[in-house]
Amino acid sequence: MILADLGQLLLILAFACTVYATVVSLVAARRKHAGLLESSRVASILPFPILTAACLLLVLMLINGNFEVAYVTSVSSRSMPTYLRVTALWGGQQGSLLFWSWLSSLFIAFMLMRDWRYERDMQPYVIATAAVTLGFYLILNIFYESPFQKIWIDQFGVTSSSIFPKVGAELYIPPDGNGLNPLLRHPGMIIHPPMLYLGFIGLIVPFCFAIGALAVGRQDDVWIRASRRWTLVAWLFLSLGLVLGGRWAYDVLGWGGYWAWDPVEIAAFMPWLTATAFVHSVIIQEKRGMFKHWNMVLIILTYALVVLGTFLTRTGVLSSVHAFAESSLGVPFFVFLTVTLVGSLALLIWRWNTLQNDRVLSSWLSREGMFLLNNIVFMAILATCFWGVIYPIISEAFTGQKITVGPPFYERTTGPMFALMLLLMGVAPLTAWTMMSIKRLGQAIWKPAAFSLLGLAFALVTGVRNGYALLGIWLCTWAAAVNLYEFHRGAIARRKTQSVGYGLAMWQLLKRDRRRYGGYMTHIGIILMAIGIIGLELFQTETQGSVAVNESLTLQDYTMTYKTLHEYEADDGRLVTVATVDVYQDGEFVTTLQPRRDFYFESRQAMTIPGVHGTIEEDFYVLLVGWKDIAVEGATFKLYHNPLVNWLWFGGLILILGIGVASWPERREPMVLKTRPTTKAIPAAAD
Amino acid sequence: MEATKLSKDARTGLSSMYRCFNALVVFIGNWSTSKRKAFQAPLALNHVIFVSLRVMSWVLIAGFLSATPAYAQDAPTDDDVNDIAKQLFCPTCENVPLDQCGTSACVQWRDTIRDLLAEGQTESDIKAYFVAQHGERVLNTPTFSGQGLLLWILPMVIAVLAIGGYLSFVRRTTAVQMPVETANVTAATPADYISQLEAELERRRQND
Amino acid sequence: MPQSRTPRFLFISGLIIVALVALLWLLGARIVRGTDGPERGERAPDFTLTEFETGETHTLASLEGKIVVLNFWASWCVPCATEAPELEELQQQYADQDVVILGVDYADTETDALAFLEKYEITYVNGPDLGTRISQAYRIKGVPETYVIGPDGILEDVIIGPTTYAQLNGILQGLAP
Repeated sequence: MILADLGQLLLILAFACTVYATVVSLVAARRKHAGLLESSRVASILPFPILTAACLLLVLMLINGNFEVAYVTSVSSRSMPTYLRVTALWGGQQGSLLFWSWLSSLFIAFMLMRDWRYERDMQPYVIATAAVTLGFYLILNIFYESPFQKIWIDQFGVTSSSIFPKVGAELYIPPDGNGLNPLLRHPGMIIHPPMLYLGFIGLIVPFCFAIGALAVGRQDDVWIRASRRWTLVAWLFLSLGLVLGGRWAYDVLGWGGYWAWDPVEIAAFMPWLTATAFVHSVIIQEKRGMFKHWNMVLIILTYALVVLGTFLTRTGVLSSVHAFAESSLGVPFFVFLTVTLVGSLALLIWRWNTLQNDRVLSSWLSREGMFLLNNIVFMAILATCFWGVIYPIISEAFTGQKITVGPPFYERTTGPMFALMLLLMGVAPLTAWTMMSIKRLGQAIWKPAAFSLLGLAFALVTGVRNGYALLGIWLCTWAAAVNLYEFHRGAIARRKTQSVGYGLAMWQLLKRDRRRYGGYMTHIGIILMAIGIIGLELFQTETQGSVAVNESLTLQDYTMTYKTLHEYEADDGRLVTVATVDVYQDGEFVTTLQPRRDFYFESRQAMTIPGVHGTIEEDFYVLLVGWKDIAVEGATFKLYHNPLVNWLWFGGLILILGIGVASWPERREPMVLKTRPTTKAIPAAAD
Repeated sequence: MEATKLSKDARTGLSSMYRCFNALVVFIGNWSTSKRKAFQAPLALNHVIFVSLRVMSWVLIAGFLSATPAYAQDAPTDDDVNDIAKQLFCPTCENVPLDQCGTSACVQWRDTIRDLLAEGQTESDIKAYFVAQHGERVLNTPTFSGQGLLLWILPMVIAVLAIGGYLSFVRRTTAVQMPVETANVTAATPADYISQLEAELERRRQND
Repeated sequence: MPQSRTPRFLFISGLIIVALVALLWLLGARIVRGTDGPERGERAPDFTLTEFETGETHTLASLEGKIVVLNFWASWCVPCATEAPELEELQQQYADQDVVILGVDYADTETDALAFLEKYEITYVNGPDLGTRISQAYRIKGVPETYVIGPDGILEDVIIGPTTYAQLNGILQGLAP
């Protein structure tokens, strides 16, 4: 009881810090007062230790089983093991909001503890932006969805939860809690949300720097350079969160897929799209001093999409398996979204003419031109996804009739755009900066283009006749060839000049020019993922059937024989039903799988865990759908044949490693420019 | 009735056979009546032919029906049901397609699909039935009509805008000025490329 | 590069602002309206219920002057089965008075629904929720839900979850003039 009140007090304290930081930083900017600025900087670092304490407090109460706290009751129970009680911190609306606030304070603290020598002028505005953002989430935590609310019971036996007791009500301690949603008990689901949160929240940093740059009217790229690594790290976590989410869905949701085009998935995917466009587009500003306005638009858009995504999922505006229950957060989120969008766009329009591009686009056929195309395609994908998410709301507002926008819409509309992206990935790395003749592009491109025909031929030989698949495989081989060729070209060149071995040369490339070669690595990761997606989307087959013991089901060249079924009660409060099946490929025994169904007593929810036999070519994926009485010993299985799906996971790994390489800290580059506002001092890089 | 369990093919086959037989019977009956004078066949014989043909057709149909176990294997399989269920969403299970949803409502819906398939309805019939019963929302994506028209049109507009915007931007900016520097950044020959790469790596190394 | 205050810049930014305002307005409207259905004291949304088998239609407007008990149910819904006999009892009790009980069968299949009605010997009017229009107008969260609408078309009471004869009887008694 005391603990919960202490927690609430900590939240209020943290909030007070953000208010102080906002006000004082703006005053400091106005008066150019270094002492005040330093004071506001410390005030915006302080929420981090305070919120750390608040989180620890909540974890402590979860472990202790302080069921008088409403949040503890709603997400934990006595039968849950300790590690799950810890992770229950982000298992429900209130706790995950606190966790979100804590992560924000972490990023903000790190951001403000860095070396600010070169960006001192924008620091007050960065502080103010960061503090307002954190303050907003703390308002939600304190006034709307506090994890420290206690349960009260009045004289009529009616329970309610609030911080302060209602008149005549007494504290109520339920005997046990409701337990964590079983879907959130899987290791994949335990780490998937924090990764996404880290990705989303990390994008605060470039946004704050962009607002700072706009506020002081700097037109150089210092905000980009200062926030570059943060952007890449955020992008890494966002990508990791999305890949893990897909993997988790594949492993435990039991529908043989990894991505359902669910509105909440798309809400997480949209900031990824703009962030990806942004990490490409900033390169142009750094190298060529172009697209300055566009980069501002992109980062504002990215940040607004993060807010919109949390808004849509946390307020129940969208219905989805991922969505939190409906809540009262709608109005504050709406106000915050409006303020963010209107404020930052107004700032951008005000500074529009201050931002002067150093160069203009010379030719469409140039590295810049390719990056421009890349950005346009990303924006088109974004607009389409956004439209698909928002359309049911629009349609319902005008007709009163609900409508479902499902996978076929997204697949048909974004499919061609993703194909275009693959093509760009196969052309852009070969283009030169400024301008290039078609002839020269032809000289550079004919080798990988010729090589890609091999991929096409291989697909044809292996019996692929689907036109989309052939196009996709051809584009993938092309793009892979180009990106691998870049490595090869660099290594050969180094071997010649430095007389080092091929492997060492390759390693030096990765080590020296991390962004460039890390970038090519992410491309290769994406291409591998694309191959997996083509395999699964176009060639997945399935069958369902009921069989008695020792009877078989067949799918493609696999045969599955049902052997036994048994049930047992696990000590974490679930009934497990496991089937044992033998798998034969082309008549030869391969393995034994154990698809199962977990039924959780507390929440009365079931999870279908597949048995999977995986190889590099395909997964054979068995689900236990249902069973008859043990006496009859018949059971229903659903079988999936998922070609190439493991390429998707392997590609995901390469993607993450590539971003890791690109964002790995180099020793701090000496800042070439120390004075504003010219960028002429930047040496033209040869990338 | 056994017949309700027949697959659609069997049913249409059966009914067309029945129609053929009837036509034949009637034709022969008429023919024999018209030729009665010519053949002077007694009326009784005509009658016998007529009746026996009828009986034959009944026997044949009865035989056909008794042979239905062979057709009963054509009863809709789980896969047939799932193929349609996959494209539908039950309102009790938002964002989870009908073939994966485990609520009892969805189980009933799948049974209905099975029954309708058994009655010989086609995939589009069944989808239309569910739309009529429960509204557009049961489809996984709206059709290109009515409420869903705008959904499909806008991506086309987006594509046109993207292409148009790109072309106009490129035309405007590249027309403004020719590049002041035709820049040595273009790797003309392999030698250029190597020297550029080295310069870049050297720059990075010095920064380390 | 585009400069501000050129016609093109103004046009494009104007378009973007209009789109943003429309979007925010839409989301705002969504929040204000929320996902809650009509509240007590509000006019109940009109609807058309097409009766099972007979195909006879009943609209709320045509039932003005009568108390309407609108019950959402489904054959797959477990609590609906305990509730159905209670509603039938109410029907028997109020058959000769100006009280109409309408059962709206939500997201159900006709065969199962008819079996359900037969099993519980339901005599009050029942029909499918065609196009889920009625449930959308009332924005139900699940079944069963029961709405009591006064003779003037004003929503008098909402019961989320299963109801009983006693509860409904009490409400109807309270409405009696």
